[in-house]
Amino acid sequence: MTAPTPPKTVISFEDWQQRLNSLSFGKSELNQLIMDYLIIEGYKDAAEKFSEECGLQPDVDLNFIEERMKIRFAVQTGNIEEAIERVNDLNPQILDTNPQLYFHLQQQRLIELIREGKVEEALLFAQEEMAPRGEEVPELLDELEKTMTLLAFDPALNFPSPVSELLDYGQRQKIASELNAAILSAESYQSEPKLPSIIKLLTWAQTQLDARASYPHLTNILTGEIDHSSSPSDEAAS
Amino acid sequence: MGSHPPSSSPLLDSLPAYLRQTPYARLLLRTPEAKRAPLLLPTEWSKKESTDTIALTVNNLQANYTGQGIRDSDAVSIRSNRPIPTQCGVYYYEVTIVNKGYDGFIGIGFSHGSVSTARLPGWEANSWGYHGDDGNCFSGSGSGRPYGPTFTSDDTIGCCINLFNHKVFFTKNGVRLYTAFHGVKGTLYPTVGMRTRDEKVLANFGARPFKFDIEQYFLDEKQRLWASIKSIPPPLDITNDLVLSYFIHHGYRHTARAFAQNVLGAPSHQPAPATTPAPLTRILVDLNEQDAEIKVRQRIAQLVLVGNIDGAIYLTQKHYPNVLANNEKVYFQLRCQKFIELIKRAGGPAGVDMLEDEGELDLDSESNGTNGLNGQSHPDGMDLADPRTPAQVLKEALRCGRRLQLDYGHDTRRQIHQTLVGVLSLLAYADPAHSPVATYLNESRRGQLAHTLNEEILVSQNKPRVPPLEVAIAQSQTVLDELLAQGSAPANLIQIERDLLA
Repeated sequence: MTAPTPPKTVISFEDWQQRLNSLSFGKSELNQLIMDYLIIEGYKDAAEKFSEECGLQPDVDLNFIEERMKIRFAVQTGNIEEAIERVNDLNPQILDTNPQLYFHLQQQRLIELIREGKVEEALLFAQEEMAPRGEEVPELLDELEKTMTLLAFDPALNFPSPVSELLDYGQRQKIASELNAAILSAESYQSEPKLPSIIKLLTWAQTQLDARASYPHLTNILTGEIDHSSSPSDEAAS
Repeated sequence: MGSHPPSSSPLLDSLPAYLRQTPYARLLLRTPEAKRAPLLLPTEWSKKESTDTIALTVNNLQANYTGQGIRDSDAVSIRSNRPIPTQCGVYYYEVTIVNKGYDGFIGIGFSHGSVSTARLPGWEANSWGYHGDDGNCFSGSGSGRPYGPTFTSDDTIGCCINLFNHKVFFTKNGVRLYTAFHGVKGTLYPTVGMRTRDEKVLANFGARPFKFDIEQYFLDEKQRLWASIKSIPPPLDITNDLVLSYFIHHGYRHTARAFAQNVLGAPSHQPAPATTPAPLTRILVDLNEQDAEIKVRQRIAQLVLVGNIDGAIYLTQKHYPNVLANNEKVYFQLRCQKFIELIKRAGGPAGVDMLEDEGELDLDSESNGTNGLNGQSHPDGMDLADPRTPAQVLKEALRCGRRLQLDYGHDTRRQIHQTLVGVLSLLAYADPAHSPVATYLNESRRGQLAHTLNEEILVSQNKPRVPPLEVAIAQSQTVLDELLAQGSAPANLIQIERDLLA
């Protein structure tokens, strides 16, 4: 029942170029987009300089960034206790209202104990701090069990893959991002920068249009290079 | 810029509220009237399809059944005057049952243009309907399946088609029912059918507010689409590279350096990642090599921004001798801006009384070198303290204006001519800040000029006119525009300016 596919439209480089050139975007909006990115990602020095050089006033206290980044750094370097302490100093509501986040932090603390080979301490911590909470939420208990299997392996040897992920730097990164987002939303700031979406949107939109038209692609995002040949050759035959 | 749709126009006002601010509305506005037909929404029931068993009233919005109403063969349906343009992404209309008639055998839904109007929607292939007497939904069959509540007089039924996932759901009195049909495709018309006596229905194609909050549904669908776009893994995380090149492009020198250090060194931020993405390192090398160059561009931009045009011209001439020679328009703009700055400083020709004691104006004198190209300006001076009296400044303004007139007075290029006349007419007002040409005094002109000059300098250095980040945005926008023009439904749910740049 599908309609016959119409022949693809071919758009020339010149035509396309003209369309691109006819567009321009507000500089202050672009600056704001970038400022949000700097603030959310925690690039404090850059945010400060940017505010000076482009004259854009950030709508949050940039000093907040520093504390947020210390917390992030603490998680990324495995100092979970320090991170929890700092978050509670900043705003005790954050962990109180996010039981799952708190559990993930505790889980990370357990992982760090196991990583350091402190087996007894890890067992005690799991039994006293984590199991009671896990019982309340079954899916958290699954995560706890998965973590506990780490104890079954000799850290000197390689861990099997599904479990070893937990010891990856990426796991710390994941928890750090989760915590970072929670702090930002407590500051009622957007928790996710919009800037990276632009590249994803570009990928999505180009793929969508590929099905309908032959047109110049942005082949190199880093240099802004647009493909000269919109490859009309294969369509020209039809 | 200017791609924001105007807030009001007869064409926009005719659209249902949920579509007024969308790319579809923008497309409609920029399409010439002669080509607009395929984009227009249904607005009424089709007069052409009305038969002797159906009568249209209330501006063709109400359909009254006038047939025998005994057998199924007495059924009749009517379609809207136009099909649904896929560009609207999500389409919705409502029908109020004015009178359920004898048995309320009323069907509401969608159908292709080719389907017989002697049948209720849903009985035939390529038609889909929700029926009031039993609450069943029908699609290509005389027997329906249980779907929702029955409906009767005074109930309002809404029909929604999501044109990119091809699902249809109905609403009853503003409450959403679950999905009725999947895979609803083709050229679709809102359709209503009746088959017992005295049945009457009144349609709302969006000219009046809907009972159901379609706006919220539209926003929810937008969010869902964005969520799926965001879940696309990027080929490589190059966000930081785009950000850094943006800073370099615009001459935000200290920001560029601080950012590169934040990302790479990151003493306060993150433990240095094991591997630094290669492109960023490359850009950092560029940053070091280009530092002096960025510094000059930044300085020039700053001079324009504080209104020291002579200084900006001087530095540009010194470091990029070709730029002004090759870009006469930019040079002209700079000279106009210089004149504007002088007028601003003099506070308008009101100071002219003070001039009289200073003797006759020597308008032809070149002695002061106000023609910036040979000017003895102070490149580093920010003009914070101008020792001259307003009268002296005004005198220079007159001299500067005179020279502009000499050089461009006979220029036939429309843009140049218009700007010249507008700028020089500042002299005609005692209080230029409250004159019809006050816009020339606007601070934003400096920003625009600094921006243009920076672009021209970059182009003269064989660098791109806009930073890669803006190219990526422009490319996305152009692709989205083309998608929409080609009838892509989801393209109406993505708006770069509102979704990302607002």
